[in-house]
Amino acid sequence: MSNESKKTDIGFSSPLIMAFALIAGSVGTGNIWRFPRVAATNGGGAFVVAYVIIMLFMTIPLMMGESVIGRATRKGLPGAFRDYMGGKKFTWFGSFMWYVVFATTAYYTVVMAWIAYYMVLSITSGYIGVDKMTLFNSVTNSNYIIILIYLGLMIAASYFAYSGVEAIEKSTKYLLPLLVISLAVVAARSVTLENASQGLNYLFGFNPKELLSAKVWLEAITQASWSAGPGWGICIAYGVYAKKDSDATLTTAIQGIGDMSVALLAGVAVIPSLFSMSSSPEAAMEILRSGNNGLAFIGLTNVFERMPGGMLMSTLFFLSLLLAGFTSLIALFSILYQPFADAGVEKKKTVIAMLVGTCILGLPSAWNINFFNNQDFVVGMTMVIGAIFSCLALIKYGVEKSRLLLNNDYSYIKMGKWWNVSIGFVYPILAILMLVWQLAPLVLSDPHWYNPFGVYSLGTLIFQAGIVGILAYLYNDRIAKSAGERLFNGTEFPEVQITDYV
Amino acid sequence: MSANAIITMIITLGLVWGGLVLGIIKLHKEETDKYLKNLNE
Repeated sequence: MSNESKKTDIGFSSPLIMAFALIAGSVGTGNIWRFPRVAATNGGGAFVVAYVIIMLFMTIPLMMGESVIGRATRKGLPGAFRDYMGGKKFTWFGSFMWYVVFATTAYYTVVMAWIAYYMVLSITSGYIGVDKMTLFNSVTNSNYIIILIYLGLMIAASYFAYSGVEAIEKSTKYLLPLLVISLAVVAARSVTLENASQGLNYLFGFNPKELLSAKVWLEAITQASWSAGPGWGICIAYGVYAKKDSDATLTTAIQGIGDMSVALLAGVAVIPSLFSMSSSPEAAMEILRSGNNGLAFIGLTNVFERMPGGMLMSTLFFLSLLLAGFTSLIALFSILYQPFADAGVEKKKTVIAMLVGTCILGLPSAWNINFFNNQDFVVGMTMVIGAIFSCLALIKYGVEKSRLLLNNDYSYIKMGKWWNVSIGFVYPILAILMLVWQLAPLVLSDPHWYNPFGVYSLGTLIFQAGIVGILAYLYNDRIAKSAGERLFNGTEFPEVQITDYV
Repeated sequence: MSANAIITMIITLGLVWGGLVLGIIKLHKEETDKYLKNLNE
């Protein structure tokens, strides 16, 4: 293919590969270790039903709305919010969301470094007979090997993102099937273990009365928000590279359903093996209540150690986690680069600046788990704020007008008027409720909730989000100017823009 | 495994995994149709 023909045929080569790239970006560790844990401890089948309903009627519709923002504006996050909301004063919404992605990139890679380390331990049977808590503490605190793995992963993912859409497509083609196969093998082994049915009863046992519990629904909303990822801009960012005549609704629906599919597969992989290898159902539930890190690095490693063929399963489990995280990391870097493409900054300079910047913010998390926990908490909360910003952008432009843009000639699934209600009322209200529900116990149980340096305090969230918000607001005009000319004419999607970043 | 859990599992996995497969087939068909249309033109 000549250079000229390459330049005119830019963006994702097909809607299908774009859908797979979106699944690869969305599927992260949240699907594999968080979903099974939260599902089994919050009503099992009732949680699964609530989660599917929330995904279909709230999360996927918002992701479709975000895809419209990306396709309509063809800009990185700050420019996208500026142009879709119709004024430079709105740029800071996108700048804020961009910082959430920056902070996510910085700390999320730390988890992947731990996972890579545990994968090597699995291959070498290196954690057999070792006290798992002591091992985890030694991995997560002051460990030079973790720092080296962290830097290696950062360089690799930023390189993939640097190589543009073509590299994203290639990585998707190989890594996503590998992820699904690894997880499927673990799931097949898990359901064939003795007493595996006990775990499946916990995961799928359905009591309709549980659906009356507000906690089940709030947990389902939380899981759907953190896992599928409206609010961190992947649908906006990949929408920028979607061809004008590609199907926005079906592509995004496949992304959301793909995300759910991997989460359910992970549930089948994790829960039966945990119940089968634990001394009692209570012991299994205790492990599930020990948090994401407690489950993956302490509980499951103990399970794999006792399981026949456990080290192979352990290797495949950590491999699937690593691949899920790595494909998301490539997406995160792509999102970070886009505003610099809009500003006409040389690509190499952007890549180096983002790599250095994210490493500076992330290395303290790699060195000390308290710092990591703080960033995990702050990013999780600000991501929900990002999702509310996406709703606000769609409301400001007009939800009905956004729906008409979504329901264009190329869309197979047409969104009904219910979409307007979901985006305009239900999602923002429930997202605010979810924030209050998550934060209220922290305020009530912590007398120092205002402490700006606490690990999980409301003070640290307000302090960090406040600094970012103020900086985004102060530099608003400058960032707005750097986003270049408005491309969106208000009636149809412009073509994918040619830059050396695509 | 209880009948209740089996039914929920079949419905949920059928809906989600089945939906994914159908969605992929439909999107692939859209692509193929578009390609053939362009070829004919």
